[in-house]
Amino acid sequence: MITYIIRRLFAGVGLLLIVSMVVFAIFFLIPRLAGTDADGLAARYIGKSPTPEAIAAVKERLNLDEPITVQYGEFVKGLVVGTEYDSGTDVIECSAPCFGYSFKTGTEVWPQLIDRLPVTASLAVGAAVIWLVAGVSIGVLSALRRGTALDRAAMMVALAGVSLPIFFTGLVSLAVFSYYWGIFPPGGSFTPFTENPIAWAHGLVLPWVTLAFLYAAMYARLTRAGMLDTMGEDFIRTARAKGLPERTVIGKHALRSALTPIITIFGLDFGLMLGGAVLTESTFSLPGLGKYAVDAIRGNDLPVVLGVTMFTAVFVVIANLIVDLLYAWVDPRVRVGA
Amino acid sequence: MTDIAHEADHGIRDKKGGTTMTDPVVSVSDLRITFPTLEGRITAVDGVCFDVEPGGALGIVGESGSGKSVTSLALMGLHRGTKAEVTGKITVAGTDIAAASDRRIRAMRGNDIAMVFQDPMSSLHPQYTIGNQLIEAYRIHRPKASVAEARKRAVESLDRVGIPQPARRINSYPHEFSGGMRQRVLIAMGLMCDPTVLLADEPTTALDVTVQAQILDLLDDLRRDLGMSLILVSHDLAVVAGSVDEVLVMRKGEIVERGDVRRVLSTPEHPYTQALLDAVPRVDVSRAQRRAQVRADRAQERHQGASSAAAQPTAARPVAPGPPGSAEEEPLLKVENARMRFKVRGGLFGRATDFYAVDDVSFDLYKGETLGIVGESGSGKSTLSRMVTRLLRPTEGRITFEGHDITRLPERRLRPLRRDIQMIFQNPYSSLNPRVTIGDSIGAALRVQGETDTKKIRMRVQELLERVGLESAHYNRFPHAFSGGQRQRIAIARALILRPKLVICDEPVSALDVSTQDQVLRLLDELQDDFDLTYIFVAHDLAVVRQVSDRVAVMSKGRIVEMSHGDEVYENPQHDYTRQLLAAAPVLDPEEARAHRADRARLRGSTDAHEAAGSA
Repeated sequence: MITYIIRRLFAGVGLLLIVSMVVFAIFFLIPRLAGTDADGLAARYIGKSPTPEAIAAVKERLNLDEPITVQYGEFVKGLVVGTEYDSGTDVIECSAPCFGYSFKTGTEVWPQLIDRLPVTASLAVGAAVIWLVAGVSIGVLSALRRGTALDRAAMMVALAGVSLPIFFTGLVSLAVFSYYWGIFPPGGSFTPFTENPIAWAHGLVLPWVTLAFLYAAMYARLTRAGMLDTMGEDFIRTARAKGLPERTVIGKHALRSALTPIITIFGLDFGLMLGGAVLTESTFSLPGLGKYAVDAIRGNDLPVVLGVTMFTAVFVVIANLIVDLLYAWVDPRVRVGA
Repeated sequence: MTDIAHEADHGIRDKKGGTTMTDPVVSVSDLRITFPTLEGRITAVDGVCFDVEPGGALGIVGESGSGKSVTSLALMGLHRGTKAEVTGKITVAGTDIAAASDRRIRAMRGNDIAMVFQDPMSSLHPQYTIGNQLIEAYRIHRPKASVAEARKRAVESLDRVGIPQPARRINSYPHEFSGGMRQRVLIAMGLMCDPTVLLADEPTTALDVTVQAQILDLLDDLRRDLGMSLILVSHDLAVVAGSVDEVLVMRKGEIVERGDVRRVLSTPEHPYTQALLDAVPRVDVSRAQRRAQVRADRAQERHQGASSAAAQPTAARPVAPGPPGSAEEEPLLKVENARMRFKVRGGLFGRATDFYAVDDVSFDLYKGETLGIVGESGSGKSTLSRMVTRLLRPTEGRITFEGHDITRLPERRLRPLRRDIQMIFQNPYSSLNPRVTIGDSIGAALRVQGETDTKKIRMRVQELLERVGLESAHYNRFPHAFSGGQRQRIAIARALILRPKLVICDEPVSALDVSTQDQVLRLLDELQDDFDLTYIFVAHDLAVVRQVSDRVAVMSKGRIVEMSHGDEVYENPQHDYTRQLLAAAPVLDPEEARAHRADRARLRGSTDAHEAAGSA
């Protein structure tokens, strides 16, 4: 088991390295290959009506005249030990981990990311709890009552959940619960958990439920399919033949087997969401990572976009690593092969 | 309410069976089970009656679809909550299955009657340790027992079924055991609560012969030592022959014959039982005898069918083709010192260790002959056949086909060879693509070899379909419409469409019922005559191999331990391993079966130390 963990850790680090290369290539190599020269590239980092001096300064700061390998080296170095953006006349410090510097707003990206992470994390964790509990229990119930009115109704609602976009369900829920009935606050407000847990939860209920609705629907369908498969397995018959009550047969034997694939997909979904639930954050005007990214894209602020992308990748890789380890714990057969 | 009333009826139940010792522990009368389908209700079991005395052993024999498994599930009350409709009366250890409450049924399952299922690979939960699963089986019926007590009990139970080092192995997961060991674990699970009846549904079907013999011996021992009743369900009469007192032959949901096992096997009354008995492959019948029989049957058929059978190509063929190894003839296939290495990964950075699946194997194969390769799982017999077809490239050694060295031919130049060497695989269910019609499946090989005329392909496929005993109208059907035996016929047609010279049959009948097995073997025999084929016949079943092979090679751990003329191997085995295999082969005569059992016990006594070292 220890061997397995160490191997997965190594694989995780390697994967992150590859991700950083790909992200870097997208932002620095591909524009070059497409014919943009160093001046053109530098101009993108400044904003509207760049002056030749500003372009020269950015070019110098980002080493855009140097070979691509040197640029990548600087990029990685910045992530690990921090870097300095030297224009020849002045120096901008970017301490480790340096996820970039926005020349448009004059801020380092990392502190901004850290600032916004609690919002996104609050949203993701709360929604995940709701969708896991709701999705899995509806899926299990549906599978056990297969073909009944309950099953049909649940799967119909689930189909609706999968097909309705968040900006629709989100806006409808805002209109009904916030503007019309006034039960929950309108979007745009976020109270940190440490300040006032009740206000924190109260403000997040609508985004949580909206986001969870979509995912719960997907997870309910997945769980139902997994349960139906598992209930036909021979070991379920063995469990019944031992004289176990149905509750143990389902709760212990069937569920463990049916939930194993759910873990995999949950890790991916959750990791991705920590990088920003773009639609939900935009719909409810939550100042999270997703909104930060959207604003950056709208303002053509490339360093921020790059930073958020890299940050998200880290979360997905970490989530995947945790899933792999969890998987080995849940399913002993994995330990042998991998 | 019914529950309480019922228990009052039977007075105080004692643990060991019914109210008195003479009452049967299992009593089934007029059992009828139907299932709803799209075409109306199907009757799976129709009017079945039987009793099992305390300590008695009953065998239920029938082909797939005979209703034997449906019956055994009914004894456990496992049709509850399904769409099956069960009528008639079943009493198990004093519990009326139809009338008892769910709670009463649960208390009975595993406690009064325990079931050992067919497929040990899928019948254990892969994600829990076997200890967890055994302990659970105990504590559900003994809620006052502590985990430590249950654990102690589980270790005892594992020890009793012959799992080495049970105290350590109890923490292992099912995938860490071999098939035979898993079957033992399932039996150990059944024994956890000292049941009155042990119900074993095809407990040895997926296993090797020697393991099968061990499991059957174990069941027999347990029955004697613990005074349990045994119900043994199987498709193979030879499996139940040595283990039960009474046998029940089922067909299409009805009992066709029933009686003392010696009587039924020696003088069967019903023609179906006779047919089943005839179909059982016999280790004691030689290849020559069987071929003579097959040819005689065939000649008779032809005689009755059409008298115009003037020119029969079969008549000219000698019974046994030229003496193997004769100098004048060049062998069709020559295998010299072939080895196949696999790397087994493990350790921190995936360090690989070498494992030789086939180790220094040599043999010659002459045109028109059949070489049987017998061995148990892991002996390397399948690897060897894949090497000969060049689906695997041998690590070392030389393979010569018709005088050409094919050992290292690149994939591109193998195509002509693929026409000459064909393979028939074990599982007819998974080796046919379910989304392709059988006509296209069979014709695909022609297309690969460059035939473009669709009409011609169709004609040839249809011709061949008829030859293997199917209809030309089956061309456009999909595999799911066929039974196991029919699918294997399709697989045979697929292999023969290119008119190969050498056909490698890898366990072609091991997934089939005995009677179907017999038909497929006969077909293979006939085709060998008609198409002038050379076979390599790979199987774990000694009896089957004897009937089709001119020469037999016995494989163990990647090596050929013994090879000679078929009758020689069976009548005068030279190697210990061959003797073990022969002693393990099931036989039809109950007296002989018991004698074999005693032999095995002796053999085991002498090799126990060796085995313990091997399985640790």
